[in-house]
Amino acid sequence: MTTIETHDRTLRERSAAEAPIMEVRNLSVGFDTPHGPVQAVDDVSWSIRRGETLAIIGESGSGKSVGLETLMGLIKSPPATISGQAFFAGEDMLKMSGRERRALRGEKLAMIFQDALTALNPSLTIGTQISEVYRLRRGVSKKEANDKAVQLMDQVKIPSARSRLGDYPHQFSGGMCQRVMIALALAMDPEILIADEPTTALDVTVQRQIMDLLREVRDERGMSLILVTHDLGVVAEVADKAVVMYAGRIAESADIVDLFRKPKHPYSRALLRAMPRVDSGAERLECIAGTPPTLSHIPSGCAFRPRCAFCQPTCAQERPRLRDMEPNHQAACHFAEEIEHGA
Amino acid sequence: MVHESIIGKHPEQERDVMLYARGLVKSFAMKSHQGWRTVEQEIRAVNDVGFSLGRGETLGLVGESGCGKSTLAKMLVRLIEPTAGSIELDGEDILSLNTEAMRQMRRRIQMIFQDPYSSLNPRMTVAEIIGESWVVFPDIVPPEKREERISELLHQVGLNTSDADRYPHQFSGGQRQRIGIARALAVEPEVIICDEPVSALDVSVQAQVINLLMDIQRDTGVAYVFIAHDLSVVRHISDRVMVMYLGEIIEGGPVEQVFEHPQHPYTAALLSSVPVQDPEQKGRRVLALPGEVPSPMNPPPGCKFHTRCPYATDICRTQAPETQGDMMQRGVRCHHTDRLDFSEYLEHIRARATG
Repeated sequence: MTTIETHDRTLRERSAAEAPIMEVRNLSVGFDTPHGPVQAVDDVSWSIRRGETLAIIGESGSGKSVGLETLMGLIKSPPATISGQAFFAGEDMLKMSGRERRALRGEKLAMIFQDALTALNPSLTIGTQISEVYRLRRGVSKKEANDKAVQLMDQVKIPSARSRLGDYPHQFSGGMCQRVMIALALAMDPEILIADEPTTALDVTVQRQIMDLLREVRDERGMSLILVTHDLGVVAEVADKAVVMYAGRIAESADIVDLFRKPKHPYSRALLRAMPRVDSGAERLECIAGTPPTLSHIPSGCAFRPRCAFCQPTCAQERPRLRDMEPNHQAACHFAEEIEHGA
Repeated sequence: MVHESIIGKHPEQERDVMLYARGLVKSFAMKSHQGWRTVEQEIRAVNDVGFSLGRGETLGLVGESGCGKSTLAKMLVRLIEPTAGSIELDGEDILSLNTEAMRQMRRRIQMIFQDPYSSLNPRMTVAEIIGESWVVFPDIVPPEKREERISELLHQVGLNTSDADRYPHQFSGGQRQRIGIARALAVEPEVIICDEPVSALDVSVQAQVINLLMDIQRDTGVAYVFIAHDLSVVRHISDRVMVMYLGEIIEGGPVEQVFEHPQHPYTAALLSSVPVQDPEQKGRRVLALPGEVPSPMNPPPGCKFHTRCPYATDICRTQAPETQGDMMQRGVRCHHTDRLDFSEYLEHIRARATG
């Protein structure tokens, strides 16, 4: 039994005054494919402060992972076409050399993935994989590195850590593998942790454990967390603010309470209503017609237009800009005001 | 041991029960090595499960991975042979049927699978996939009407008539799941076993498929056994629900009662752990469970849940609890159910139910 600690408010108020630790401006990532050029991420901007949690929400193919992989340097140009800026501590990461990026990766930025079992090396023991980080980055002795690995495994609550150093990834369950991934990511005490669908593959009770763990390490270390997910429940419980993506573009960006209370974009509204809830019964779900577009055939104008209940002729001609609706609340819809007041 | 107690001894008058399972057990033999010796070990994937399904009703089956829910689903259509127990459809024992009689029986029981990618033959067109069952059951639709019936079925599941000549790879995940549903509907079944039919789909598409399944039930009166790990989805679609843990049903009953007033600590923990789509619930109290589901190779003695149960006492460690009540009306398998109160962990669910 645990009580979920509410997010440390003082930390948040203090950080609100601070400049963002990372700021992404007009990031675009495109690929050339046999089906023609594809814009996976299209003019995306967001920022995150110290200790803050940003959720990036979207369905498959919305470009939520590609954007972050680009920031981590996992997607390179060429083959991708990357434009825009991504400032970390005042410097544009996208202009950095490979060596500078590598120094940042792991030390300042770390990432964990959905499928932890495939992200780990199956032929090395867990102990080797965690202690390797200390040996390569800090040049410590094997014994010291092992001690640090055990410390870290204790922190992410892997039971009897020392005796499990010699185990291989396949001997761990899905939840334990995710803990190992989190331990690896935390090894160098990063300032930002990017979690790409960290709990999607896990069972409900284990998902709860991993979410609590992420929240705990975030609050302990004052770390920023970027959470990629399609699960609005996870978003509501962990994030401070959110960006909703559709077809590579930002549909809406808002503080978390505003997004859930007063969604302005028809897509976010529909998404909130389409998700079945454990706390309400069997009335019909409101669903969004059609399927998300393939990126090689994005509709003209507003990408959400063919599935939108409020679609007007203008939507086909003109692509909506991301507009300020309220402080800290932007939406990319021509009719955001009318829709909000109409319903 | 097979207990009679799972289903109450009184036949249910108000429900028109069609599918009736009792004491279902599936054990697998697993070979393990102890030095030079090879030892055969029995793993009970499903242990003493019973339920009944009324006509036009949806029975939800919830549980975490490895709890045996998919094994149970496959036993119901005899894709896996049960080790013990009985399954009756309108009084006829399915398990005693020979191959040909079972083939005829599958006209009444169909299945929809989780993975819409691997459950459709990539070399067959949609029309061939849907019409294949008519090769076995030629009397369902006369040959000259088949094309028309395929269009009808496609229309019913929200696809276009023109899709009949296309191949599965030309469709998205949600559309493929619709093809799988149309295939199941082609033989006009009375029961469809749905094994995680929406868990591979995107949120917006998931809602469409759930609505589709509910519409089909309204129009055709088909009954579903609906298996899922997502409690929200189960709540939406089910009339009754059973919760499984390590091969056993630990709680069951009408869906509102189980979700709003769970009696088993595992059910309460599951419900409390689901993230709620409401940022103002951030600080709510959660009944979080420690550890993970134990391996079925090595199940704990006594109550199988005691290793993770925050309320476990000595009796739980030594003695397996009996089922109290009827899992279809309201049943639970816990020693301490009378003295447990989970309301502080479930305020968010009850608040919305009443308000």
